[in-house]
Amino acid sequence: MVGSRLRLAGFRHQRKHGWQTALAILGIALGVAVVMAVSLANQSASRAFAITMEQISGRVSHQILGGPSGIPEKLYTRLRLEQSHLKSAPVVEGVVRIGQEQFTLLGLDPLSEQPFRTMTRLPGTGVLTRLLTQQNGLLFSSYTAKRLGLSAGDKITLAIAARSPEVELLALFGEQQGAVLDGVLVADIATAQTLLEQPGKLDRIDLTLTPDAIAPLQTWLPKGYQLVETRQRTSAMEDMSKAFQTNLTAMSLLALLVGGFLIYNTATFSVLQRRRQFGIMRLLGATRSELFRVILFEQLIIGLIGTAIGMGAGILLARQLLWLVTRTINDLYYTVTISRLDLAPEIIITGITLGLVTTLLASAAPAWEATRARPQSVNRRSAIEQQSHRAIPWLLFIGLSTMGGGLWLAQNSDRSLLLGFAALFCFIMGYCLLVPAMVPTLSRLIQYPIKWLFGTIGRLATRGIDATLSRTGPAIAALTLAIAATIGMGIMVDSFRTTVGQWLTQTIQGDVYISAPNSSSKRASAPLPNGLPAKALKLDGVREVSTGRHVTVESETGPVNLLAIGLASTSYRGFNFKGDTLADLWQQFSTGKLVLVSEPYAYHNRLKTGDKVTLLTPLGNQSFTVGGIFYDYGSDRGLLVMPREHYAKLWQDQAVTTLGIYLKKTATLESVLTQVKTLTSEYDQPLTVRANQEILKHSLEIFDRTFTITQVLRLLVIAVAFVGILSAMMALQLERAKEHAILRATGLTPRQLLGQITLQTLLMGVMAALLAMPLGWLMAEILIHVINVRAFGWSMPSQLSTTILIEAGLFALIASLLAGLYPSLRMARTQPALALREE
Amino acid sequence: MQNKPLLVVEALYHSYREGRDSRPILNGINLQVEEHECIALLGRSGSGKSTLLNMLAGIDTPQNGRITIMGQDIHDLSELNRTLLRRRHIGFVYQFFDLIPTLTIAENVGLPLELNGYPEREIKKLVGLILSDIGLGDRWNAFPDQLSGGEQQRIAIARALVHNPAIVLADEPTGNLDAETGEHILRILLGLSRQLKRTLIIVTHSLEVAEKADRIFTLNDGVLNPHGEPHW
Amino acid sequence: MRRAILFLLLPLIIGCQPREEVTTEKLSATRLLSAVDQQGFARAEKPRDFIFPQDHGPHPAFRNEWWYFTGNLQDQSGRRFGYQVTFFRFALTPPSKKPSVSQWSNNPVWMAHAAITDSEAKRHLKQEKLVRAGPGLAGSEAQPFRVWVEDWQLQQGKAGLPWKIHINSETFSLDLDVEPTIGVVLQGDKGLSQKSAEPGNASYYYSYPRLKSNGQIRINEKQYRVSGHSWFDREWGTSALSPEQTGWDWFSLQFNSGYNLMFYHLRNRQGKADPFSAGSWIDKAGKTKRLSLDQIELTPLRWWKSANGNNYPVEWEMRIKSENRLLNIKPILDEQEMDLSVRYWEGAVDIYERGKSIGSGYLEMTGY
Repeated sequence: MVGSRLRLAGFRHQRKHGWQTALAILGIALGVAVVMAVSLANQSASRAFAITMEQISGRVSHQILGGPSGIPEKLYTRLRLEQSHLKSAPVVEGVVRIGQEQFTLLGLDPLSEQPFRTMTRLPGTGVLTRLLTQQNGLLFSSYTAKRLGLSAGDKITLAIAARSPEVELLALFGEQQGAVLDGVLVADIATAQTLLEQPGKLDRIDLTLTPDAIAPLQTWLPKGYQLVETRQRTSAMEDMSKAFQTNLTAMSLLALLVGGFLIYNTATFSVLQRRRQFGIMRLLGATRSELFRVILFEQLIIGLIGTAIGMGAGILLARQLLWLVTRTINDLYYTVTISRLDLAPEIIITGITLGLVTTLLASAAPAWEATRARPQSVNRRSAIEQQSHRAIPWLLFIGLSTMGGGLWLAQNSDRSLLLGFAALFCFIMGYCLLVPAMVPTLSRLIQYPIKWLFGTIGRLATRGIDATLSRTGPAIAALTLAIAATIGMGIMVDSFRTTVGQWLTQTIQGDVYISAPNSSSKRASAPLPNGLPAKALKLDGVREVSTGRHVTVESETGPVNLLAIGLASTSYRGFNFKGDTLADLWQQFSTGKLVLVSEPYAYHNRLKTGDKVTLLTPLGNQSFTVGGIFYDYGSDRGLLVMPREHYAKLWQDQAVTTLGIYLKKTATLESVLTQVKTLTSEYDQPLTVRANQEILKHSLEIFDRTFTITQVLRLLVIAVAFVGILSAMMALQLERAKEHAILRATGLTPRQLLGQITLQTLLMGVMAALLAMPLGWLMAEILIHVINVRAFGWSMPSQLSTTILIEAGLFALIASLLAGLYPSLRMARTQPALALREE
Repeated sequence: MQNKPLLVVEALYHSYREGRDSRPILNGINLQVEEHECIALLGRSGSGKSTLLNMLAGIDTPQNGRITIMGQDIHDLSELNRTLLRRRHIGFVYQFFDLIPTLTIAENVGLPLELNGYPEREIKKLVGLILSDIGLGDRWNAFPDQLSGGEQQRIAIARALVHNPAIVLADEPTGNLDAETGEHILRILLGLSRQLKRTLIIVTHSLEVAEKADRIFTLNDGVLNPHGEPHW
Repeated sequence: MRRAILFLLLPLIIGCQPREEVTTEKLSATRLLSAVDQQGFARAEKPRDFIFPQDHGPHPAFRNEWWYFTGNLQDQSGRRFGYQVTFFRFALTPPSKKPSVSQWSNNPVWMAHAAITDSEAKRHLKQEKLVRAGPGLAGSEAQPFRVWVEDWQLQQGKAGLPWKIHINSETFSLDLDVEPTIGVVLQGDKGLSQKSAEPGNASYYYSYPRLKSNGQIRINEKQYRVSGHSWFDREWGTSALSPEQTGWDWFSLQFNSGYNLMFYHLRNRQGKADPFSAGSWIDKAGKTKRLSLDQIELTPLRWWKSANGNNYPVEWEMRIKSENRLLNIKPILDEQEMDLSVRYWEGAVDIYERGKSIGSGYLEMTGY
C-alpha cells in the first residue's frame, strides 16, 4: 500500500509526542462531549415531551377547552346526550408532587378511554374494579414506578396544593423499556376530582373527530368553550421551550468551536515540528496530495479517538445536564418529567460527524500548508513565519468582511433565531481571524515598555511572540475566543439579572404579599381564602391592598397567561411601558376595554399599542385593545393584564391569587408582618406571607437557578479553552527548546529562562484578554439585542460590568501562567547540550 | 548516432533580493551532462551551488533559462509531473543525512521504492541488497538516531540509489563528517554510482572531493567554469 | 333470572376490549362471578309486594337490574323486523350513605344493547353502549319513569302510557311506542325467581308479556313505519351464579292465539338441563301457570356456525307436556349473534306447529 511508510512515520511521531496528541484528543473530546451532552439533554426533553403528549393525547384529534375554571362536567353530559355519535372522553388534569418531584395527575374515565388511550387497559378485572371503586387508587407507568422504587400495592403520600392525601399504587401500565411515559399518574376521574378538589369540573374533553364533524360541533358548542386541534396545541406548547433549547445548542457549538481551535493548534504545531521530514518526503518524490492525505488521515484518527471519547463523556455529562434542563423547562414552560436519556442514533451520528468535520476542517489548513510549500522552503525555518506575516492583510480582509457579514445578517434576518446565531458565529469567527493580524502590532506596542521593565529578557519575550506568529496567533485567538465567550455570556446574564432586579423592585410595589403555595391546577394558581383581602385591609397600619388573580386563558393563538389585578393607588407605578401607550391609559384601563400586554407577548404576536387581542371568555370570544406594552421578565411566553373586577365579571371567577398589602407611612413592616401572619394562621389552608424584599430575593434565586445551565456551559467552554491554551503554550515552548538551549548555553540562568518563558506566556494571556474584551462586549451586545429578543422577546439595556472584565482578565492570566508553567520548568531544568542535540 | 545528453542546462539565471537590490546568484549557467558521468561542482559557501542543485532537482524554479532532463524541459512540467520525474529519476544525498527519524533505516531506504510503487517483497529484497552493499545489513531495524554520522550518511546514499535513479545529486555529502569517514563515504558513493552506472553530480567546497569526479566545474560569481584538467 | 349471567360477566369485559380476551376468559369468568362481593347489597330473599309505577324505576340497593325489550314488528308491506333494546345496571359498590365529592364516585356501570333484524334484507344490526352513571350520563328514575344510557332512552309518555323507546346509532334508529295489552306478570314465586338452592340467590322478576308496539325504524337512510308486539322483562337482584351453570337457552313466545310462553333452559357443565330451569304459560287475560323443567322438553334441530366460530342451535323442537303440544321454533335469520363486549345469540323466531306458523317470539342463547 502506497503511503504506509509515510503514515507509519506520522504515527510514530504522534506516539513520540504523546502528551501533545493527548491534548489534541482531549480538546476534541471536550468539544464533542459538550455538544453531545446538550443535544442529548435537549433531545431527551423533546422526546419525553412528545411521548407524554402522545400517550396523554393518544388518538385525540381535538379538545374542548374552557376558561381558567375549567369545564363543568354537565357540558360533557350534554355532549354525550346530544352528540353521542362523537367519540369523546372527559379528562381531569392536575399537578401533584411526590417528594420534590412534580407529576401530572390524569383523571380518566376508563369506560370512555377505549378510542383514545391504552393506559387504563389493565390485565384482569379486579384492578379495574378497584380503580373505579377505590377512592385513592392510582396507576403509574412501569418506568416511573421502577424509577421511584415502587410496586403495585404500595401506599404513597402525595402533596397536592397544601394537602397530603395517601394513595395506593394499584397497578402499572406501559413497558419498562422503549418509549416510556414518565411523570404521569393516572387515576379514575372520580378519584382525580376528589384528590384535586374540583368536583363537577373537567379540564378538557378529548375528541376524535372526522373532518366533517368539526363544523357542526363548533356550532353546537356553547359560548365560552373552544374546540382546538390537539396537534396544533401540542406543537404550540413544544415551541415554548424551543428558543431555550436552541440557545443551549448554540452555546454547546461554541465549545466545539473552541475545540476546533485546539485541533488547529495542535495540528499546525505537529506539522511544523515535522516540516523537515515533510521536506525530505517531498524531495524523495512524495506528491502534494499524497502528503496531504497522509497528514489528514493521521489527524482524522486523532479526531476519531477524540470523538469516541467525547461521545462517552458526552453521555455521562448529559445525565448531569438533564436534570438542569428539566428543572429549567419545568420552572419556565411546562411540566414534564425527563428521567431518561434518549440516545437517539441521529444525535450520535451528528456528534461523530461534528467531531470529524471539525477535526478535518481544523487540520486541513496546516496539512495544506505543509504540502503547499516547495520542498526547499519547507526546509527553511523562517519561511512559514514569513508566510504567516504575509497572510496578515488577507486575514484582516477576510476577518473584517466576515464580521461585517455577521452584522449585516444580524440586522437583516428579521426574527429568525437561527440566523441570529449564524450572525453571531460569523462575527466571532471573523474576529478570531483578526487576532493573529493584531498580534504583531500589539507586540510592537508593548515591546518598549516591556524592554524598559525587563531588559533583554523582556525584549526576547515580545520578539518571540511576533517571530512565531504561526503558532502564537492561533493560540492567542483560541484564548481570546474563550475569554470573550465568558465575557459575552457573563455580561448578558449580568445585564439580564440587573434588569430583572430593577424590574422586580419597580413591579413589587406592595410591602407584604400573601399567596397560596402550589396550585394543583394547570390553569390557575391556587386561590386565597374568601374574605382575606377585606380582613387584611382592616389590620392596623395597612393603607391599601391590591389583589391579583393569575390564570391561563385561551386566546386565538393558544393558552396565554393573564393577570387580573385589583390595583392599589400606587400599583400603577409598577408598570414601565415600552413606547407609547394609549391616551388616558389608566382611566380606559379601568373600564375593562383594554389589556396591557407584556413585551414578549407583543413581540411573539407582533402586537403594537392599539391592536386587538381576542380572548375566549365564558360569553364567547371577546376582543380587547392593547393599551400599552410593558416590560416584563416574568415569563417569555408573555402576560396580559386586565382589571380584576372585569376579569371576575367576564370569567365569573371571584378568586384572588395574591394579595399585596401597602403600609401607612407610620406603620412598621414588622408589626404589620406579625399581624398578617397571625391573620393567615387562622386559616386551615397554609398561606405564604412574604415581605417584598424576600420576594425580590426569592425571584432572583429562581432567576439564578434557571441560568445555572448557562453558567455550567460557560465553565465547559472555559475548560475546553484552557486545554487549548495549555497545549498551545506547551507546544510553543517545547518547540523552541533549541532556542532556549542556546540561550542557556549563552549564559542565561535557569531562573532567567523561566522568567523569560513565563513572561512570554503571560504577555500572550494579556494580549488575549485585551483582544477578548471588545469581542466579549460585542458578543454580549448581539446576545442581548439580537438573540434574547428573538428567543424570548425581552429587550433590556446591556451593562458593561467591570467585575466580569476583571474576572476574565484574571482568568486569561492564570490560564496562560499555568499553561506556561510546565514547559518553563521543563526547559529550565533541561541540560542545554541535550536540547541542542535534539532537532 | 550520438546519445542525447542526460541533462542540459541553458542560460540559467536566478537572483535573490537583498533589500532593494537584487543580487544575481546564477548568472547564465550552461551545462551538459552525459550518462554515467560524474560531475563535481566546486564553490565557496553562498556561491549558489545548492540553489543550482535544487533547480536541477526541480524543487526550485529559475527566473530565467532552461533545464532539460532526459529530453524534457522540467519547467514545462506540472508540479505533480515534476514530482513524479524526481521520484523516478533522481536520488538525493544531503550534507545533514536527512533521514526520517521516526522510520527505521530499512523503512527509510524503502521509502523511495514504495513511492515508486514497488511491491513489498521487491522492496524487501532491494533494501536488503543495498544495505549489505553499504555494510549495514545487520542494522535493518535500527532508527537513525542509533547510528553514527557516517552510518547515517551511508543509509542516505543507499536511499538515494536504491530505486535506480538516472541522476544522483549529492550536496556536500561529506561536509558534516570527519576526514576519514568522509573519504570512506565518498568511496562508497562513487563506487556504487559507477557500479550501477548512474550519473552523479556532487556539490562540494572541497577540491579533494571534487578531484574524484570525471569533470570539475567551479561556481564563482554566478558563472560556471571548468576547473583545470580532468583527472582520468 | 335470564340475563343475569350477562351482567355478571360485565366486570370482566370492561377492561379487556380486544374480544379474543373475552372469549378466552369466559370460563374463568363464571368462577370469578361467585367471588364478586355481594356484601352491603340487599338480596331477594322472600316474595315482596310490587308497587307500580315505582317498581319500574331503579332499585339501587340491589347489585344488578335490567329493563329488557324484544319484539317482532312489520311495516305496511309486511316486511318483517325483530328488535331488542336492553338497559343493564350493575353496581360496583353498595349504595353509600356518605355523599361523595365527585359525581363519578361509586358509579354503577350501565350497558345498553340494541339490535334490529331485517329479515328481508337478511341483516342484523347491533350496537352497544357502556357508560357509568357519572353526572347524568346514564340512569333511571321512577317518576316520571325514565331509563337512559346517554341518548338511548326509555321514558313514559305524557299520560304515562304508552312508553317511548328511542334508540339512535350510526346505522339504524328505532322510535317505538309500547303499551301493555296484558298486565304485569310476576314470574317465579310471586315475582321471586330462585337461581339456585342457596336462599337469597334469587331475583325479583316481572314481565309485560305482550305490548302493542308502533313506531319507526330507520336503517341507514331508509324509514319504515312498523307495528307489532313486544315483550318486556324486568329483573333485579344480587345473585351469583352457581359455578355449575354455564349457559342457557331462553324462549319468549307470543302465539297468534294470544297465549304467551316464557321458558329458560339452564345448562350445566355436562350440557344437561339444570333443575332450576323454569318458565310460565300465560293466557290472553294474563293468567299464569308456572312451568318447571319436567314439563318442557327441548331438542336442538339445527346448528349454525357464526363468523367467529361459535356454534348455536338456532332451530329447536319444544314439547310442552302439560299441554301436549309439539312446537318447532325457527329463526327468521340465522345470523342474529350479538357479537359485542359480551357475545351471545339473541334473535327473532317464528313458531310452527305441524308446519303451520302459529306465532313469533325471541330466543336467547348463551354459553356456546
